[in-house]
Amino acid sequence: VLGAGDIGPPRTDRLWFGDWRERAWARTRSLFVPTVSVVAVCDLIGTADAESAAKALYDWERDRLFTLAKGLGAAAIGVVTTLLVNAAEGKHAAAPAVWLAAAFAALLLLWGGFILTGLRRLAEEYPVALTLIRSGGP
Amino acid sequence: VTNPLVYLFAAAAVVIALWFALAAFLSYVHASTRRARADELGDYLAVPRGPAAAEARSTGEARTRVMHISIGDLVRDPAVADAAARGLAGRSQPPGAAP
Repeated sequence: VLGAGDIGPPRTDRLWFGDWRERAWARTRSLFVPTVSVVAVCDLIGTADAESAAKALYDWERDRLFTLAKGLGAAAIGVVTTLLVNAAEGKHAAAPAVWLAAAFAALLLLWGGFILTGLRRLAEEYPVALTLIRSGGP
Repeated sequence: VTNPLVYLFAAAAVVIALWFALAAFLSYVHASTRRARADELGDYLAVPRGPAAAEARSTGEARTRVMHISIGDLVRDPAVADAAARGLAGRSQPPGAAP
């Protein structure tokens, strides 16, 4: 039942260097959009209560990214508060640094907003995952 | 008196902006190359994975090649979705059955 490439140790060069862009992309993507692998879903085919297991995968993705979005929002509030306190106390900083710090808060909010809007994809992808599970069953 | 946090935030803004740019580049690379792995995904899905394959499953090169293809890629790229459908259709047919 195994393919020719399934058995044996993986090629180290491909794992660590050949696919570095895919690996970097997978790591980066997990911090922006919900990601459930096709392979992970299809590995559930034939298992007991596969659909509940698939739902758990999506619940974990939603909780993970929602927590990250809340943390980013809190961090943005912290940055803005620091800038306001800095201005109220009359502390001086170079103007470009202040503008960049303000841009940092905006980037954090942009990141959090991107995550929240991207969570909508979960609703679109979950039926596809169920279709995969049902189409691969006996 | 200068608040060092302002400069720390300014440096973080530059780092985050560069990271966003890197993420956008990697997103473009992934979107332009995922179709090349569609056939590999179909081949992988065509093989039923039983409990006996659990050990090989964690280290299999075939799995490594396609594991970064997400459900979202199926939604956005019809070629990848077709390959997955073909693979699963092949899996559900008994050996020797007509396609």
